[in-house]
Amino acid sequence: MELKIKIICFIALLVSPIGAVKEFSEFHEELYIRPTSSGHVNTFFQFTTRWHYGDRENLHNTQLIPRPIAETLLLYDVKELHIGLTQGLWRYETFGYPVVDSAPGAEVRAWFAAENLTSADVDDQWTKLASTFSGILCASLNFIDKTNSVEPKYSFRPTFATGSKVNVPQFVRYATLPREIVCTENLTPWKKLLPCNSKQSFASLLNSGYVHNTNYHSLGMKMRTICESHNTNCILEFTETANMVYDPKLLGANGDFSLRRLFGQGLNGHCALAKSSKIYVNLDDQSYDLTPLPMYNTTSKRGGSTSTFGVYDIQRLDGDKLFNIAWIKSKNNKPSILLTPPPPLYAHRYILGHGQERGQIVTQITNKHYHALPIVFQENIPWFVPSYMHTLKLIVQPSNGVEYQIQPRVMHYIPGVQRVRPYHLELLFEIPAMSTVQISFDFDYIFLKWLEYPPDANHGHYLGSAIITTQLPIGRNYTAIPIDKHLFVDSFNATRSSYFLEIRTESLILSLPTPDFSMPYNVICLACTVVALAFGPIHSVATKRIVIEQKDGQPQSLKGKVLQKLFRRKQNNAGNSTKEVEQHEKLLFGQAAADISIRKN
Amino acid sequence: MRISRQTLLLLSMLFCIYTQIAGQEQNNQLPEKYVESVQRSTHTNNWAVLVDASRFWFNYRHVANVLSIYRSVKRLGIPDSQIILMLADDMACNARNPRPGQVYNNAKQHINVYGDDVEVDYRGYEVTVENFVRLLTGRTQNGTARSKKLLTDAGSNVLIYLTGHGGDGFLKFQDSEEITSQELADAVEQMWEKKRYNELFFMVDTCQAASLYEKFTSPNVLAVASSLVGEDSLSHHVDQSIGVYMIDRYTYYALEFLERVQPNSKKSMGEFLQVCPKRVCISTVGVRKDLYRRDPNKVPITDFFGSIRPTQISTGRINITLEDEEDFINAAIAAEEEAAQRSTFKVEFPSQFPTELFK
Amino acid sequence: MDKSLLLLVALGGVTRYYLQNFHWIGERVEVSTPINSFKRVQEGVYLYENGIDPYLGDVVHELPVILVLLVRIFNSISNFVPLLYVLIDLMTATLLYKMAQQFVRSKLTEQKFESSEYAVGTEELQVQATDMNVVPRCVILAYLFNPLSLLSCAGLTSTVFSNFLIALTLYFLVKRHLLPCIVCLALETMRNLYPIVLIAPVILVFTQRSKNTFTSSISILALFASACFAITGFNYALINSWSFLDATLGFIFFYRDLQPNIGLFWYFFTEMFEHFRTMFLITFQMNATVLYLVPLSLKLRKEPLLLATVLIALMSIFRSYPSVGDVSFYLALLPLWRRCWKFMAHNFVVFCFFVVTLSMMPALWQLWIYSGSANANFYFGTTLAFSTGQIFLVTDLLFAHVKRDFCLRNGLKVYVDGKEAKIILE
Repeated sequence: MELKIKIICFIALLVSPIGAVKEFSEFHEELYIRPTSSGHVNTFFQFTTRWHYGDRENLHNTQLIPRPIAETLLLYDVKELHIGLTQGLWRYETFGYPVVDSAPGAEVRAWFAAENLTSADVDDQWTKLASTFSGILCASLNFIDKTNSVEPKYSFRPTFATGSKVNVPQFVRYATLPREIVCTENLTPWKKLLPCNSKQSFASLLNSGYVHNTNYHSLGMKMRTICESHNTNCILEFTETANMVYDPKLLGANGDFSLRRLFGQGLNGHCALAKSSKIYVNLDDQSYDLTPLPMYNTTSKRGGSTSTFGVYDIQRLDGDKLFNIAWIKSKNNKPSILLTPPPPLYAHRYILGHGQERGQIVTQITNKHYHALPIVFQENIPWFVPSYMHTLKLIVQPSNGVEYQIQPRVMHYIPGVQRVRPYHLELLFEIPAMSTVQISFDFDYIFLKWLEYPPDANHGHYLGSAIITTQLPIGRNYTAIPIDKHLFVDSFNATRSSYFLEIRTESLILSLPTPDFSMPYNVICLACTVVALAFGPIHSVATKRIVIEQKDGQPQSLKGKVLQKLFRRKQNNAGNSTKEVEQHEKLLFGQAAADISIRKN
Repeated sequence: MRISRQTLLLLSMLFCIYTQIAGQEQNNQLPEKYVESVQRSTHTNNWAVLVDASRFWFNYRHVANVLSIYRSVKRLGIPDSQIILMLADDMACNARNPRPGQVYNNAKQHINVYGDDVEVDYRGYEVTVENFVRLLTGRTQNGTARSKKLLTDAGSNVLIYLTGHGGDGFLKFQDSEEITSQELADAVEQMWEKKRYNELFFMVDTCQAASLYEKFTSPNVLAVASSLVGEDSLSHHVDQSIGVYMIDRYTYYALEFLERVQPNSKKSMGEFLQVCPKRVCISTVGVRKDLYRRDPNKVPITDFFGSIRPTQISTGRINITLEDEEDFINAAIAAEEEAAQRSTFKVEFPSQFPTELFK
Repeated sequence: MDKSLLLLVALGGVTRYYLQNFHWIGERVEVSTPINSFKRVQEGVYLYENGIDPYLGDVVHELPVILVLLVRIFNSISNFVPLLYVLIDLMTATLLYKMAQQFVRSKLTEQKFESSEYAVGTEELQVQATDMNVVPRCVILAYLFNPLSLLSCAGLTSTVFSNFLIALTLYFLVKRHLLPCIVCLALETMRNLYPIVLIAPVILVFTQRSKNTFTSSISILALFASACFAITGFNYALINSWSFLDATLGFIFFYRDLQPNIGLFWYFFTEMFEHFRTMFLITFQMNATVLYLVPLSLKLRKEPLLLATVLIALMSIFRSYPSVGDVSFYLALLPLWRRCWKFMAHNFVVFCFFVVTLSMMPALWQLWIYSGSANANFYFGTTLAFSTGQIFLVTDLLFAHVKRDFCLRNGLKVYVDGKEAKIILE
């Protein structure tokens, strides 16, 4: 008996440390609050789970990472996944750049990598992956398939690491559903993925009534794996973000705001499983007084710009009281003059033209920087917008000077096919300093089958936003997290040689001409009648022969004509003797044939 | 001897007749045990399929209808994983809704039926006749998420609630297609043949609602409709501040009834079928009981609207602590430290921008 | 060709060249369809030049041969491309003129042999010597100054090439040059699918004088098939992919683009129920091709050119992407049948149909697409009426031919029992 116990202990000792080494995870919660130059307030939540899971087999035993995420990695060869559910428009000129950018509606992007992976496998996995997350997030992501997905060549680069020396095939897929709405049913499952209960910690601030009452709100999910060597010794990083923009004027109290006003309640502590729970407050805008004061301040120098942040460490708070921070307009403040310069690059997009026959999509990218910037421009145009690339024009409009046309350095274009594949365009060009580049091309409005129109056909069809990526030499307005790091705090003092920036344009709405949905039977009958109009006479000409019919003295009056028409049949029978004889003969012959057949029987 | 034989014969005949009669008398009534066992529900789990088939803002009331039922079944214990909620349009976050994320059953905003933790399984354009029939019959397409499947079995009590605009024998979906009563009946029949339900409660709030259950032939189906054939179902009241009708009469009173039901309450389906008499509903509530074996008055309402699982609490102790707990924890801490050191391993990330193409 | 004719051709050319300044013409749905629009050709040229397979998308539906040719032309004389379209259209007109001359000439010789069979007093039904001059003149005028053909050329549609190829086919047909005729027909068939039916008149013409009709028709068919294969192979060699087959023939047959045009297909297949789609697609394509082929070939075996005229007309009514250019072509062939005109009863009705519907189309289109005050049904109604008018015209021509044939042999007036009798079809 003793021996047996010893053996068990031995095994336990031997196995458990290895298990613990391989399953090591940490969870961080962060909240970043920043008043923008336009008087709005940007709040950004980031929940980061980082799990050093080691080998693939360990994915079966999840701790902080939600089980569906780990299972996704087991089921599919996905290595990196970004999902965004956004409502509203991020205004770059006034809000600056967001930490995580995402397109209006739903946006999904995934990288797949595995040995012997083919593009067809990826297409299959991609739709299944989207379908899986459609269930997890209660969004209509299951509408993502080959007809609206593209494979960008230049816009996206992997942020995962396979650690493999040999070349493992990698595939990227990208799709947007600009029509997708974001509401409570998305927030609920999104919160459920967090390790702590949604009634506790930072997640308790995300109440549906308040989240959806904002000018802009975006729920994000990012997952990536970082492996030291192929499929072994891996880290899984799972980040959930919520980005919101409030208008404090709408919250009342002349521009003052507080956590309670923004979120409906104060903060009720931190998640017990979190390694860190911190609130960062941007202090660059001097016009607010904070109560309580931050626990400590920290300065971040990045790419030539300096920012100050106040930090509240929630884990160091004590007491059961709800924690609240208030921003109060300082009384002795000089009239605030907007000193924040606009961000170096922003873009807008429009549809030109009137009527429902021909149009033009125009994107204007403005460079406010004093150097030329390299640009990768990506359009994912749905299949129902046939575009003509021979009309593509890139026109530079310098802020002072005459406009001129340029040619893209590289053009990657895959023409779309109706009902099969979207039009995908990627352009690489350089945007000169202090100027705007206008990219325009023509398209046609097309006609769909009546059942292909959505139930609200006259609402219009959406075109997803274009993506513009660039590399900024300066870090002004730039808050994105560097690729090799995972926390928001890691963006402090993260000076690099250049800053990779991703921005998106507005999505567009297009009102396609519609047929009359109540007409199918009428149309089918009418069109077939016209065909029959041709068939009948041609059939007569081809099969009938000419017969002479005796012309009787034709009555001239109208009454006589009508009478003649009425009794025509009778006259036919009486007047046409030849025909009768023929019929008689036929009859006789027929009878004879019948007789023969009877006899045979 | 002869007589005795005759009398014996006579006696035996009489006995036979008697026993026959006695037997007949016994057969006139079902054995009590059998009756009881029939009346007792044999279900093991509860599912709900709640469908709002109307799009557009002016059909706000239909969303409120379906959410009222959703709220009730969720409150009474059916987990979200066993509720399939289909909403053809988004009312809560609609741009015309002054109270984003909220849908009320009442102009006085008594109950926010949207709640704080709603999970919509099919929404917007996903709500189609095809998806609905696929869901019921279990013939979902390959790759469909688990939350979009009706994973019922022979022990499931299923509640199906439909609301929208209907007519004699059909219900419109999104104002562009319709499901007929025959299609519904066929789907239910297929469910029965595939053993996808134990009992089914079919509830529908639409004009001429009774026409939708007319074609049912499958057993164990109890159906209730807000109006008879030839009658319209009417809405309850309008909220002047948003300019739309809030909820339909039948569902309004059904919610009122269900709000009073608690998981342990003794209210029966029979009582529920009495909800909304003609003087308040204006339409006549139709009930179809002929396919249902049990007496609705003896069926607790929680058989369909809740998920009551009796739990037995054991008082016995089970020791599951590990031997040498200290060592285990220490080892784990050491391992964590080691892992923390190892987690700073070097990996190379590719450049995020195709700079090489701009040289 | 005399001087006055040359002048007319020049005038036609100048008019076309002038009209090309109006770019909106090429954007009208009546003029340019997905198959023939200049915009799509430009897109194809652009994609080809940028090294993208033009047939990867579904914008380009021109044969690679034509596309490559156009790429060359665009590269060398891009400014003269509109002029090229004018030149080709003028060549079409000239070819039609020559064809008509040859046709009348052969008719006259034919008549000499048959004149004994004709009834007395039917001179007005017989081809006269004056027709040698009048008919070709009418033909060329009908092509040069038909507003529809002017529009088609001004809109730079590739129907100009189609008309040229069919005109060539007809020209070689009456000239009895088998090989060029077959090659032109095969090329046009590969471009537009429907001209495949013209193989019937070709076979009829070239087997008229042979002893063994069956073997010679088989050999003509084989020649045609091999020409088609050769063209396909040549196209394949040009771009090294088979994608063009689906982009041209497949696109026409499966009717993938529902853009409105003057035909019957667009609204019919917009409103079609999905599970009947394939059936009706096959029915409609049969109707446009083989349905009338056999009965008409049997009936009109003595008049192959009339067969060709009727088939071209039916083809341009029932094809999936018809345009006014197609209509103008068969209208230009009608003067060939000048001697049937006496029996055509619906001329006025058809004329009214054409005028009213063609003027209604732009108006209703404007109302539907731009001002949003009409809907698709209005435009559909006019296209339906336009097709009906054309059908009247074709059937009228057929009836007229049958009657003329009868009267030519039996006299203009037939008497039964001393009373004047009526001719009817039974």
